[in-house]
This record gives sequence, C-alpha cells and structure tokens, in this order.
Amino acid sequence: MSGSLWYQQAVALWRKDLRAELRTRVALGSMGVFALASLMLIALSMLSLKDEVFVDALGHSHLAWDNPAKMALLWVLFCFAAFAGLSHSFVHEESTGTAQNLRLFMSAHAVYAGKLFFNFTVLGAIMLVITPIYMLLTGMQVGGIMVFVPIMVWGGMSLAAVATTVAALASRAHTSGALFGAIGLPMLIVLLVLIMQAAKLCYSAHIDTISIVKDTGGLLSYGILIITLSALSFHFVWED
Amino acid sequence: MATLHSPVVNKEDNQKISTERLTPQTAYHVPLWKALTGLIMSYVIVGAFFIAHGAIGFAEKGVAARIIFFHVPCAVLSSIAYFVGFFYAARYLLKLKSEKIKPFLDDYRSAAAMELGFLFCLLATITGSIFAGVQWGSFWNWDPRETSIVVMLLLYASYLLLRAANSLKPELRARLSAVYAVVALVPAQFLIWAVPRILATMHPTTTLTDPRMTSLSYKMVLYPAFIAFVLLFIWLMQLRVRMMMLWEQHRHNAQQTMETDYR
Amino acid sequence: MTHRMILMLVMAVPLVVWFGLFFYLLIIDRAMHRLENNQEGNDSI
Repeated sequence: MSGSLWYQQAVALWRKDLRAELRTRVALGSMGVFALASLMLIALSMLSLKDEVFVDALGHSHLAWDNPAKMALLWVLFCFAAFAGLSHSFVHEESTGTAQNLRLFMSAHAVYAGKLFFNFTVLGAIMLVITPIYMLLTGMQVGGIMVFVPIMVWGGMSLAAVATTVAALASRAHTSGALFGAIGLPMLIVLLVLIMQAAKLCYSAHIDTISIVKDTGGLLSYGILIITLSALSFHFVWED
Repeated sequence: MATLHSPVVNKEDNQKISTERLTPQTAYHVPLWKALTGLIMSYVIVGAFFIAHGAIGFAEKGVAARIIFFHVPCAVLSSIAYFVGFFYAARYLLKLKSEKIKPFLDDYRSAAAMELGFLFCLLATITGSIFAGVQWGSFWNWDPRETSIVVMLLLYASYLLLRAANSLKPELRARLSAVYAVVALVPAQFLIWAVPRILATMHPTTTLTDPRMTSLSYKMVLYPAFIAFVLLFIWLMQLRVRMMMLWEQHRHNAQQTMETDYR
Repeated sequence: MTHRMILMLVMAVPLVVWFGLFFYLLIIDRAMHRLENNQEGNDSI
C-alpha cells in the first residue's frame, strides 16, 4: 500500500473507515440522535416566535422567525452535531492501536484527505436526512436552489475540514473531549457568519452581482484556505 | 512529579547566589529604548488631555474621544500580535522540517505574541465598550467590529487553552500550537479584514487610512501613541520570552540535579 | 472646579498607572538580567 499514490491511499482509508462505520454506526448514530433531538428542541422553543412580527426603521414589517434565521439555527445544529460525532475520528485510531500502522504505511497527506472525505461523507448523510425534516417542521423554504445547494455542500465541506483539523489537534492532548469544542467553536463562528451572509442570497428578491461574488467568494475561500493550511501542516500533528 | 515543583525552589536558590556574586560587568543599565518607551507613553498620556482638542461630533463636547489614543493602538496591536505569532509559528514549523532541530525560541516567541495579543484584545474590548457606552449610549451594540474582536479574543483564548492542555510535553505542545496558529490564521484574517467590511459598521473607517480626516492636534498624539504601544509590545514580548527561557533552563537544571541525586 | 482641573485629575489616573507599570517592568527586567547572568556563570562552572 505504501507504494501507491496518495489519493489511492486516501480512498483506501476512506473505504476502510466507511466499512467500520457501517458495522458499528457509532458516529452516524450519535450524530443522528443528537441532531434529531436538537431539531425538536429548536422547533419547540421557536414555536412562540412563529407569528412574531417586528417593524424596522423604514416602517416595513418583517417576520422575526424568517428564513435566514431558520437557516442560521439549522447551521448551529449542524455545527454541534459535527462536533458530537466527528471528534472521535482520530481518538478512535489511537485507542484501537491502528494509528501506528497508518503512520507506517500511509503518507500524512493521504491520512488527512481520507479522514476529511470520510467526515464529509458522514456529515453529508446527516445533512441529507436532517434538512428535509427541519424544513418540514419549521417551514423553512429553499429559495434559490442554485444558491442553496452549493451553500449546503460547500458549508458542509468547510465544517468537515474544521472538524477534522480540530479533531487531529485535540486527539493528541489528554483531555481531548473538552478541548475539542473549546478550540473548534471560535473557528466555526467565522464560518457561520460567512454562511449566514451567503444564505441571504437565497431569500432576497433582487441581488446585484457584486454581493454574490463577495458573499459566495468569502465562503468558498474560507473552506479552500482551511483545507490548504491544514493539509500543509497536518504532518506536524500526525507524526511523532 | 517532583520535577514540576523543583524550579520554584531552584529560583530562590539562584536569587540567593546572584546577590552574593554580582560582578561589575553584570550591572544593569536601563536600555535607551526602554526609557524612551516610558517617555513617549507619558507624553501620549499628557498629550491626550492637553494637546488634542475636543473632537467635533463626539459625546461630552468631544472629551470622550480622548480614549481613542489608547483604544485604537490596542485594537491595531491585537491584530498585529496575531501576525507576529503566526510568523514565528510558521518559522518554527519550517525549521523543524528542514533542519531537524527543535527551535524552541520561535515557539516561545509565538506563544508570547499570542499571550500579548490576548491582553491587548482584552484592553481594546474594554476601552471600546466604555467608549461605546458614552458615544452610542449602550455598552454593547453587536457592531461587526465588536463581534469580531470578541471572536478574536476567543481564538486567542483557545490557542492558550491548547497550550495549557499540553503543558507536560513541551515538544508536542510547540508543534500543536504552531499548527493551530497557522490554521487559525484563516478565521483571524476574516475577522480582521472581511467581517467589518461585509457587515454594516458604525466605526469610522477612515481615521487611519485617510490622514486628511484627522486634525493635526490628533495626529500629534495618535502617531506617537502607536510608537509607544509598539515599543511596549516589544518590551513585554521580550520579557515574556526571556522568562520562558529561564523557566526552561531551571526545569532542565532541576532535572539534571535529580538525575545525579538518583545516581 | 474648572474644566482644566477636571482634565488634570482624570489625566493623573492613567499617568500614575503607567508610572507604576513602567517601574514594575524595569524591576522585572533587572531581576531577569541578574538571573540570566547567573545562569551563564553556572554553565561555565
């Protein structure tokens, strides 16, 4: 295996992780239950807000619990679900003793890519199930589908990238569980702000080109930069 | 576990010895630039109240605006500190890769810059909140710059938390925190440059970029204030790095003493 | 009290804080200078 190219190694790791996951379903199960439970919590606690209206400075009235607000809470849900399920991706390798084998037979880049795509797969599966249920319960609309789908896909990818990097960093410390949320969430606040900003594009009637470029460009470059810098420096976290 | 406590004992011993044999060549002179830091900062404090005039359009007949001589340098330093920390973190990783040595000095510098970044971020938040309370009537308005400085504070805090969690293994701690400093550059950049521009802000954006917008009496204090704060930053950072090196040396000495004791 | 006197009083607060901090830093600087020299002495022995 050590002779093969890095992406072949990454695919092999992805396949192995997926097979292990489908056998035990720990990550999927914990994330799914977590996401569903918090989905119920959000839908219930926002029930009273449903018909709330506020009037802005110009005299227009808006729904307080509108589509961007629903989108924001959906992403908060995904962030916490990702942190509940993906924190174990490296700790698991250390505890079962397979980490040493991976270090011997695979390049650090391959491990990072494999883990990133595995985490993205798990997160994507959860998102595919949760988003329709959420939309059904809260009445969130899709808006412009050509903007909505890329935001969901690339937002998920960026979220998976942050979670993978932070999981790798936290797995080397003793108190990894507490550390994971603490060092990951400050990075995710920025991602959430960018997703919120891009999500407004789905729901506003007329959008100028400059704001499309600015808002989607911000989200796109955040994910790309995080993945690049993590891939460049992953080797220092992974190796002994 | 004894090694953890021994440096404290060692420190006292060392101080005792150092007072005993203090040779003339080790006598301490105040370096010129440190004295200069004291002078310029004193000038800024006096100047903030007596050189700068009350600013037009600010609360309390412009008196409230005098806080900007302390608020703006702190806010600028809190983002410069991240660049300094990132620079040394990246240099640490590059050296580690190419020379196969352990360049601890760069790790200490990176950590010291991050600690000071946290400190200046906190100062900027506090002075900014006071200013906002007087000027805008509320101590917290969720202005984009307020939001971004709080998230920046959280970023610094999580860096320091990561260091604290690995404090028993200095080599691993150095590597992990350097990687975090490199990766968290992305959110830090967005907080410094993008977030205040994407969202609508109440902060004036031209105070620094367009010199024509600021009156001469303000420039005469604001520019020295930057120099004073940068010098203070360098001084504090130097002290912190030296302290970490002394600490490491003591730890090393204590370990050696213990090893010889066991033999 | 005139406006000028109030300004003077308010100015005294940061000035005193700064002087305190400045001399505190100098004392630390000096103490560390001693420790560092002492360390070098130890190494040569």
